[in-house]
Amino acid sequence: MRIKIRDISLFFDIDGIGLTPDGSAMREKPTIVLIHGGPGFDHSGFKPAFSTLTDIAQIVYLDVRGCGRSGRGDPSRWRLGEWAEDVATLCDTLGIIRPFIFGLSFGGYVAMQLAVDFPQLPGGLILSSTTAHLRIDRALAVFERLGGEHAREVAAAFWQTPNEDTFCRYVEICFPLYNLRPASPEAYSRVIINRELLFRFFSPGEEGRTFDLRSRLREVSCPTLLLAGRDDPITTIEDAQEIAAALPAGTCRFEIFEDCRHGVTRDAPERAFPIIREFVSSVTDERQDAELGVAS
Amino acid sequence: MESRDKCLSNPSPIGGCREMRIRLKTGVSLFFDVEGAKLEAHGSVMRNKPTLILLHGGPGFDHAQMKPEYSPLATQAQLIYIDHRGHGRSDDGDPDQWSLERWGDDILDFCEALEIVDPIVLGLSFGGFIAQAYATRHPEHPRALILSSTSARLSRERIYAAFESLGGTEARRVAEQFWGGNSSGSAMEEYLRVCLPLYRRLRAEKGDRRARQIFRAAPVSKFGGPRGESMSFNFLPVLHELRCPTLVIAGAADPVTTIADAREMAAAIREDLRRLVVVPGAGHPVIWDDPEAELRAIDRFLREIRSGTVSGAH
Repeated sequence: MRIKIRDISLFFDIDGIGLTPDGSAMREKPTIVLIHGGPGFDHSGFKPAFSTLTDIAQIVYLDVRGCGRSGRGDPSRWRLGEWAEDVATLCDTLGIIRPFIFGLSFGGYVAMQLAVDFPQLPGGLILSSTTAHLRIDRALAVFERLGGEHAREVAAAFWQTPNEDTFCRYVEICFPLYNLRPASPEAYSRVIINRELLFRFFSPGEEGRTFDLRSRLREVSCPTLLLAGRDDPITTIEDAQEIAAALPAGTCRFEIFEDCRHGVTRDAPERAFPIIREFVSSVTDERQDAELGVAS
Repeated sequence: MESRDKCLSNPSPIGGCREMRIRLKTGVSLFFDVEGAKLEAHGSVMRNKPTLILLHGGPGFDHAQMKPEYSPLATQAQLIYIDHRGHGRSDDGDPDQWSLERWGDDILDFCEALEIVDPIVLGLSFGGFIAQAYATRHPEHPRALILSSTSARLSRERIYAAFESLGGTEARRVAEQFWGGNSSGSAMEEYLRVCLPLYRRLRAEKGDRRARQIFRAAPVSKFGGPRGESMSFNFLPVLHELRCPTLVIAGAADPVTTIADAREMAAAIREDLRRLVVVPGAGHPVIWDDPEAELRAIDRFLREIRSGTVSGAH
């Protein structure tokens, strides 16, 4: 399915019914909107692993502006504020009220931007392997620890000048360090990659290098689940700790995954998915209890 | 927009108000629900599954009647459930516009709004009337049609005879009153009490299905009233215009869209496009009375479409 919103045509996909027959009633399931990483990658990386959540939630996948099967739009609008407003508008247009917003890596930047720009929208935030500002210095130190001096040099070259040449070497040398269980070549070939967007966003001086959401995270008004791998080389554990510290006190559940790197749902699905399920269910139950309390 | 407003004025429910909907170009918003992803990871590629749009029966009832029986098809196709305008969680729009043409055009408008191409459209009972309106008015649009427990017209004499043979003269009298255009509350109530239980021939209804649906009497009165479209609609003269493979599924003991109706409907469709599956002993609709038989027939039909055994204009 596709939908025209604002100035763009967005591809989205849905799995898992929202209304389930349950005795004499139709039971409502919560919605989880998944925002993929990159930027310049697409939603396919979430499949098939996230379809296991369809028993507790309806899953909405989308390719963000400029990515995958969505329209490219005007490259000057490949910005976090635009991506966040796209997602908020998509939800509003489809009547999705108070969804969980799940952001992986770059998708987490968009999720955080959305949560501060549209605080009334998300019912819950799930931030997985992400950061509120890019710290290449921290990343280079971890790359060196995990892959030696050569990995550090290859990473430094890419982040200094993101282009076809530096990216090829980065894919070869640094991507294998991102995960303990790297994506299969098949999974990688399923992804549509927009390199122009990736290089543009992360070029020195561009938004991917200058954004900093830390001071705004106190505006987040929904419960947040923060997932981070102890040995994540690109959005480091220090980055995650900064997010946890910047969110309003008492609203963030912070789960650190030992022996995991970037994308804990890939490196430790057997630990990560039960935590996600528990968070979605408990936040949904708490809200329903609160409503019953108001009504009685 | 009544449903949206309701959602927004309630702080409820976290994780989504379960009223996913899309506004059509006419300004009317239709509720829809989705089961199964369209794109699936398959080796080194993302594989596109067909889209199967499910049109519920009625009038007056909603999409919930189709759950969970059709769910097994989600492995083969992305299922999209819709509430017709004036039904369930969808907008009413202007009730003067409630007609098979308008309900049928809504399906086209819905597909355009979400850029759904080459849909397979399944119409159950009253939903089958809508599917025929949509497909005969826009013959190039559907990839395939499934007309399940439905008919091209409502033949009163066949209905009355069927109810008399199943429930005696009392059932005939109640059926004559209701189908004769008396859509008053009492006639409807009597029909639901006396005749509805005769719809099912193999498995008794458990009762929960009724409770799970939102019932709205207005479209029943509009469609079934004395000047209602149920008196006059007839797709037999236009069914030859269909251009897509069409599966007709009929219960041999269906009292309301009878086996004779199904045969004449199938006979009006181009021979190279039609498939007729008669389910022995089944009443109305087959999907509740003998779901395994209906799912087998659809499964076989979907495989035929995929393999090109039956192709039509596409």
